Amino acid sequence: MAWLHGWSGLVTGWLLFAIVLSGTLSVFRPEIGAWMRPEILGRTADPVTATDAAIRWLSVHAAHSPAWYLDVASDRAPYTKALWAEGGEYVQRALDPRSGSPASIRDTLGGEFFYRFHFELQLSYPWGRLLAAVAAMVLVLGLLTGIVAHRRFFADFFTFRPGKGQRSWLDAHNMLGVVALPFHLMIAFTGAVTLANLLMPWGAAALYHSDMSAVQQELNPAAIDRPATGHPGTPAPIVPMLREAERRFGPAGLGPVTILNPGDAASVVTMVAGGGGAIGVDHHVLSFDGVTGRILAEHVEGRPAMSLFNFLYGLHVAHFAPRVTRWLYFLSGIMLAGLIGSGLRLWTIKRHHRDPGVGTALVERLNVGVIAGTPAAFAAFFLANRLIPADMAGRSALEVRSVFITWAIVLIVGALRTPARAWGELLGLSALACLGIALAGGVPDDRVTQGVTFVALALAAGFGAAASRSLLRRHGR
Amino acid sequence: MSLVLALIGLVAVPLLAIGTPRQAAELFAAPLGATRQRVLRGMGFLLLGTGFVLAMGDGDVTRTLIAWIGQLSLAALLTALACTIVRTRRGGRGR
Repeated sequence: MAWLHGWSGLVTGWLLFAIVLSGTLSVFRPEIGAWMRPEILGRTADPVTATDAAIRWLSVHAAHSPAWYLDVASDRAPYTKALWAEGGEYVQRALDPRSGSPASIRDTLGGEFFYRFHFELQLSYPWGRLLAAVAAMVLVLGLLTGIVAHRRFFADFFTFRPGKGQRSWLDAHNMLGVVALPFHLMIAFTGAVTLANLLMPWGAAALYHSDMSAVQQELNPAAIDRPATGHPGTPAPIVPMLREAERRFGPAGLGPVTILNPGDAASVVTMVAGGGGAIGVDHHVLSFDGVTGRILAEHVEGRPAMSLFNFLYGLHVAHFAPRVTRWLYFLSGIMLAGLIGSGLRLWTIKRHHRDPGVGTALVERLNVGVIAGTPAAFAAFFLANRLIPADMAGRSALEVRSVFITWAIVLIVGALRTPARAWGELLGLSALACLGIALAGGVPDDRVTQGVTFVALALAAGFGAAASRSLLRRHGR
Repeated sequence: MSLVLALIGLVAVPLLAIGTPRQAAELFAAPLGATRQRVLRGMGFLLLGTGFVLAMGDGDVTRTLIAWIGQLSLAALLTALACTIVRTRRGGRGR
């Protein structure tokens, strides 16, 4: 069992580390989005008026898009997030809650980058999702084999003995795994369930003969998908539809809004209820005729299998979570990243003297680049947001590119330098990058900036302490 | 309710910690006997049981339990770190 635990962890460990770290940041996706759009930071927005403004702007500037996908403004994200087709490509922008225009807000993916990277890995469909699904399954396997392999589960529960080399790493690995084990199991299992259709696509193929539109219709009976007629249709006012949806959704409030075939006689407006504290997602869907404003379909999810899936998915994405629970998700996510990182480090320490071959050296150098360097690469995304001019064209893609350029550099440094040097240097770089984020945020005079500054400083202190410890050890002190 | 449950966790988890044989032997000048360990563990589990009953009585059971499990993880991490600090200090005094 220990063999399976070690090797399965090693093969997927680096990928899992990046997936877990980006997923952990995704807990604060709206807040990161707000921090990265300082133009609207601290503002409040009414979801109905902001959506109305967004649709008025899209009607003029994206009239030919086959659909508009909107995430309505909320307390956590005071802007409408819109996705529409432009010149054969989809464009995603935050729209001003008053004017509905993206012009006054800098172009950035914000927290959406980490959220998408978490399960798509910046790869085209289905490869990123498939890799993430396999990684989630291996994480479940790693946790279960870890429980079996860890024989002194209760005896070692509260034990961490620092300064004892391999023993300390094993203690840290066990402690980080055991104290948050319910979270680790839940997040790994729900992650695997979320992407289960990629691992087991044969159900849809057998039952629906691979007709994905039939699958979608069955999954979401109230989402009307009808082709455009090609004849223009005068859109019905959106505000009465939004008010009606708000009334029907009750405390759940408004969630995503989709306008299919905008401006066409066959236009459809579909609204999904927000979380409103319920754990399960997508539990209430309402579709309106875009021209008459008449309700076409309404579906309140009550099917046991779908409700269970929505509950498990909701547990994973934590949209339901109030502030304290979100922080607990975040801390548990950091512990999971620590668990994976310490496991990878332990693998090389165990073999350093016993089997000091090329394989061990390769793993050791990759460990340095991934574990010590990934935080610096992710931090580069935040720093690029402040360093790239706000009105520069294509800045959103540049921000994303800065992550991968930094990642490539830290991996090269990790591969070329001796691990003893590189650990301290890259951890120091991560500490400096986190410190840079805290400084780049400016005076923390609002809740979002305070949160980002606090986390950045805490991480800078942690990485700084680890870096100085590593450098001191190298100098024999 | 969340605060009450958090406090229960912050008391119960350290009780369980010092009731385990390793911590009972290492954290005190005179190691705790088996009976004391059992009493401490019993008190810890009793508190956890009380917390669970309180959580089940809350209007929003699922969300309360999810938050509480997270709080217990945090309490366990803090307790483990506190045990490490105490053990290191005791070690520094010549043990």
